[in-house]
Order: sequence, then structure tokens, then C-alpha cells
Amino acid sequence: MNYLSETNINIIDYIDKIHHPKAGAVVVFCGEARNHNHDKPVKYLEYEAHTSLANKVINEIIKETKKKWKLHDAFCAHRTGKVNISETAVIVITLSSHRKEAYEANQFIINKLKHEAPIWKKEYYTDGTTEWSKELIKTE
Amino acid sequence: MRIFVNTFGPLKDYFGQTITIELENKASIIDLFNKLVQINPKGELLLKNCQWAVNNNIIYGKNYELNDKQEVFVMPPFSGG
Repeated sequence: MNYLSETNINIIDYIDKIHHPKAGAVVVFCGEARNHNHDKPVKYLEYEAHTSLANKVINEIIKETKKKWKLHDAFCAHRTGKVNISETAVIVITLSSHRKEAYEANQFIINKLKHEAPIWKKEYYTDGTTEWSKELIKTE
Repeated sequence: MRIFVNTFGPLKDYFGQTITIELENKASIIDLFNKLVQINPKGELLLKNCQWAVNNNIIYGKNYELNDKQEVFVMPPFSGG
């Protein structure tokens, strides 16, 4: 299964395609590129990944989550390459009979993906400087 | 023996995207770590926070023994999402 996309993620297309007759709740999380980071204006983002390992890790996260919350289905897609402001960087969709499970499972997937999937974000600022995201780097 | 190292994210700024390293036979991940620090000491802090992968599996434990011509992926803390 390929969870990485080099091209634009069209959220409407995904929502349109993903249904399950037993699912009364469909929760969609959409992470978009924002135009600032710590008050510094961002022009665009760029993501890179260890493709095969990222697909493997995300697949394991999806499988674990579906089992844990007894979901009818779950889906995830993450961008690689250049992502412009307000474009979708990541989408997570969870389907369950009732909303509680779908909300919890959705948060679980995005949190786990951020910590465990080998994907890296680089910020390109409007002043011409660039910076790799240091969100998870220990300082000592 | 020869090890092909692939780096990602901010680690590329210290070692480039790919680097070939010569090590003694039966060298381990810790030997590779030490060699990389020797090449660029400024990358040590980031290297300490890296995870290492071989054959599409993350290696837990720096004593993992490497083989000649093995491809090793050195991965700094992830920042997807």
C-alpha cells in the first residue's frame, strides 16, 4: 500500500470515495501547510521520506488502529515534495459505527504518524532562508 | 568493508544525501556512528538522536553487525504531519 503522494491531495476526492455501510461516523483530519512558524512567515514546505519504511510504518499504524478501535476502515495519505500554503500535507480518515471511536482513532493515527513515520519537513521562509523542522529533536 | 550510508532531513546538511564509508570487517552501527562523527564532529548531536535502518527495518541496539556493501539509512527525528 502506498500512503505517500508526490502530487496534490484532493480532500474532496478522498471523502467522496471512502464510505462504509456500517459507518455512522466518518472523521476527517486534514493537515495543511500554514503560512507561519513561530511568527516567521513561511512561503512553502517540502517533505521527504524514506518511502518504503514510511509506507510500512503507516500500514502498521493503520492496522493497529483499526484493530484497537474496531474501525470499519481507516485511511491516510501524506505528501512528499513541495507543498504550498493551504495545500493538504496529510489526511487521515477514520470510519466507525459511532463518532467517539472515529475521533479517538483519528487522533491516535496522526500522533503516531508524526512520531514514528520516517518523514521530514523543511520550511522555506519568505526571506529566502530555510530550516528543517526541529519539533522532535532533543537539545541535550 | 564498504558501507553505503543514506541520510535524510537535516542530517544531509552534515554528510550529504549519500556517503560511502570504509570500515573494518565485522564493524557495527556504533563503529559507523564513530566514523561519521570523525568525518564531521558538528553532526554528533544530531547523530545521537538518529534511528538507524537496514533492510527496511529499524535497528534497535548499536551493536548490530554490518555486512560488506550493506546499505544503512540514518534517520534524524521525524517531523511529518
